[in-house]
Amino acid sequence: MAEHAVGSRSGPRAPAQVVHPPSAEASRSDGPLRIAECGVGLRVAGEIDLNGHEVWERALRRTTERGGEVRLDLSELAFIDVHGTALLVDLAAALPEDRRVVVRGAPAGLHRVMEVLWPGGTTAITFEGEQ
Amino acid sequence: MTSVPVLGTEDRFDHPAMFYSSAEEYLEGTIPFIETGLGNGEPVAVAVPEHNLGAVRRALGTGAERVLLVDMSEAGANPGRIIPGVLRTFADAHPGRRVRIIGEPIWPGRSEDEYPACVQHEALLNIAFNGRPVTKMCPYDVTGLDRRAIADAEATHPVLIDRAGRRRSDRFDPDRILTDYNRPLTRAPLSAIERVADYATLDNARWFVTAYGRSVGLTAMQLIDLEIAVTELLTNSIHHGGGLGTFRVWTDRHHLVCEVNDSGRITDPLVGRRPIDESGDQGRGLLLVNQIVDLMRMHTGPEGTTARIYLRLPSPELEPPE
Repeated sequence: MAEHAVGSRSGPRAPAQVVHPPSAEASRSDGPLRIAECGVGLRVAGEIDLNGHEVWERALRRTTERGGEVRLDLSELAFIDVHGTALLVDLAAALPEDRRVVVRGAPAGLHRVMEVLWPGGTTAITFEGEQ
Repeated sequence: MTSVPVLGTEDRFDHPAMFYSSAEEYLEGTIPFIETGLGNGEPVAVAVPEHNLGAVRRALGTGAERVLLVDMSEAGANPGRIIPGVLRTFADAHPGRRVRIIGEPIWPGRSEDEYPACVQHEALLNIAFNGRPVTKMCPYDVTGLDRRAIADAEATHPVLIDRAGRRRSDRFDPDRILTDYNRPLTRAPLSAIERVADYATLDNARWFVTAYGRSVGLTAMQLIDLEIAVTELLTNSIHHGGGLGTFRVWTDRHHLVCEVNDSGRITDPLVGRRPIDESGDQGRGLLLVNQIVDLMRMHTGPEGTTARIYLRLPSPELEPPE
């Protein structure tokens, strides 16, 4: 499948000089945020925190502007923070009633943030697959 | 012992403390209060520690079905969670109506680490519900609690109820409580691991703390919570606290403890306790943290802000508090 990379982490990351995981089994994620357009949505890998908000928001906007169902494959996403989740929720909520976002393979942390901060869920987002 | 809404003050926050010294007095103080609410057609919630919840449930009989019963020792373990997670949720579900709540956030057995957060919560209620049609009575066990707790209750409640009846509190001064209890946290132990994180090393800090949590035996669910919590605290430091946060992590007998210190100052006393739609980014992060940790303590001032979170260590010999 042809994929077009639409973003990577904005700005260079300093190598880990300030903090070091205490052991080799520290759960390092598999690299920086990578977002690829695929089909009618996005495939996202890596981690979304304040370093990735801009890229994440831009990619979400671009894909929701195209119309139709938005499919997000988050099975390679290792982490997403509250603001990253809020960007998704807000953008989904702004979609017209007949459109929705279908999320596949969301990390456990995304489910946790949604369950705590948006306990009623949001009709504009459907989760597919595990959990 | 029933509380009577004052005429002509429809949107008034009525916030009495109810001092009880026996199980009988507890029921004499709470049951008529609940029944008055039900008689008025008001939505009623009772959020008290489990042993008292059981007594209320039995005394209400079938009436219990019309009351939302909440185990405060669970839902209110972290006092910072009570306003957004319990009280606003209940009040906001009944817009335009007076709601009636019994809330008992302070009981014998609250730890020294928890107590200041409990008193801050009681003081903040007066701000959070000012001008709202909420009647909230807070029972205090005068035989089990120390004198400090009772004196603090007199400062956080404008009205006091005891065997003698209902009276105005001469010592009501929630602002003083907020000032007095906004004190520097006890120092982290020498064994604490200290690091600094900024924009470029936030991810590394998250991995580090999560790996530490795994090494001390937190569950998979707790590790997810820890990962999010430390990220949100450090994100606030990076955005609002001078671009970086110093974090320290250690364990005490029962908890993994992690604190984040920065040079910012928090000016909104209700930050992290407002519903999501009334919160900015910083507030949303703290709102999330409040709901997923077992305790959050905070100190803020001109020198900066420290937020400290506690996650209970899984421990077979750990007994639940009495």
